[in-house]
Amino acid sequence: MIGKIFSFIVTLSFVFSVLGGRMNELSQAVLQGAGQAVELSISMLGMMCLWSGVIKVLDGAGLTSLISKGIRPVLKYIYPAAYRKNCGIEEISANFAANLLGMGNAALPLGLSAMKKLSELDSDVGQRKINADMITFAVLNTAPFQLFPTTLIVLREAAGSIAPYEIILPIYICSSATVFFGILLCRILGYFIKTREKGRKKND
Amino acid sequence: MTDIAAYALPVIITLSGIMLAFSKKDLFSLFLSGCSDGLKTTAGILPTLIMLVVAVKMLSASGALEAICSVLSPLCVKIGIPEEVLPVVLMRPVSGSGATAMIKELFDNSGPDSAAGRIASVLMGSSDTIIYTLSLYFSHVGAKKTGYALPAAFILMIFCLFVSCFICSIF
Repeated sequence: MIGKIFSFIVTLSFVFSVLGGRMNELSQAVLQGAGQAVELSISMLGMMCLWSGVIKVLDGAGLTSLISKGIRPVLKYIYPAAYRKNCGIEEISANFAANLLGMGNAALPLGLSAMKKLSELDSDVGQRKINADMITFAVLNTAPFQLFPTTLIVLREAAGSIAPYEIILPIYICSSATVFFGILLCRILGYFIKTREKGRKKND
Repeated sequence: MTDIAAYALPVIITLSGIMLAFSKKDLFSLFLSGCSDGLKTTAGILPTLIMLVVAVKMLSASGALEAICSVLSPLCVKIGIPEEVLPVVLMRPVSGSGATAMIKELFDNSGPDSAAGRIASVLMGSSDTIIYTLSLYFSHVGAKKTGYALPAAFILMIFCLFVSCFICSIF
């Protein structure tokens, strides 16, 4: 995937440079770009290390299990089928906690095992192996709520922002709105598809 | 508002400091192992980042980025989004490192505190890569079809874009 993106961008740039006579600029961009990526990584490194360490401390002190316990009752409304059978709820809440604290590396395996558990539920979309709760879970994982967007803040800091943290509150608002809308959207789409499937069965 | 936001980091650091002092577990070694995890993660994404930052710099220097922006600008004006944000929007669902490279370019050109910079920041902070996440999650359970997951995720991302524009116009 990334390889395709790279080749697409590079080819497009080359064609545009030839057409616009900007080959000097292009060659300079290549020379500078590589160095800038390293500079960016170095400016991110300190904060990434510190934050990963802090998160691990909070995790070790029991914060993640506290969060996942706290979120569990709410999951009843988001994943009704899974909650009823108590299937995968533990993994889902742990995945939420890991996402919240920005532990992407920990969230992924938890998310995958939650997906596996959810796939063992009865299918109710009509397609084999896929059910509404799986879709909701995967879609919500494309817009996870994160408490401290480390990479973003460091990027802003590195670019010389006068208020790198200023966007945290807007992100909280936007992210909660997105999560709520996502739950609603999946429920509506799920309901819509379910009734359509039922209608189709009746016609058969 | 900025004052409250500035509390976030010191409070969390202090909290973990207090935990270090009172917990019976050896939290400091956890802290150190977490730090080296951070080192590994950053070093791990560096090769991808180099490729994509070079690609995005080339895109910008060749004038292609400008061309894309100018093609899309009438659409942007109509829906009220700064045209500079669009490269980030286009890259966000596809690749995380790509979006990082795009937002770096946006920050370099327009500044992180510009309207476009803020909108892109909020979008970046409240969305994640769609294609990668969905394909990973569904392929893990051996499902070939993804139902309505892909359209739902894209609708969600567009919703997120509009909300970030709206919020940035208030704050």
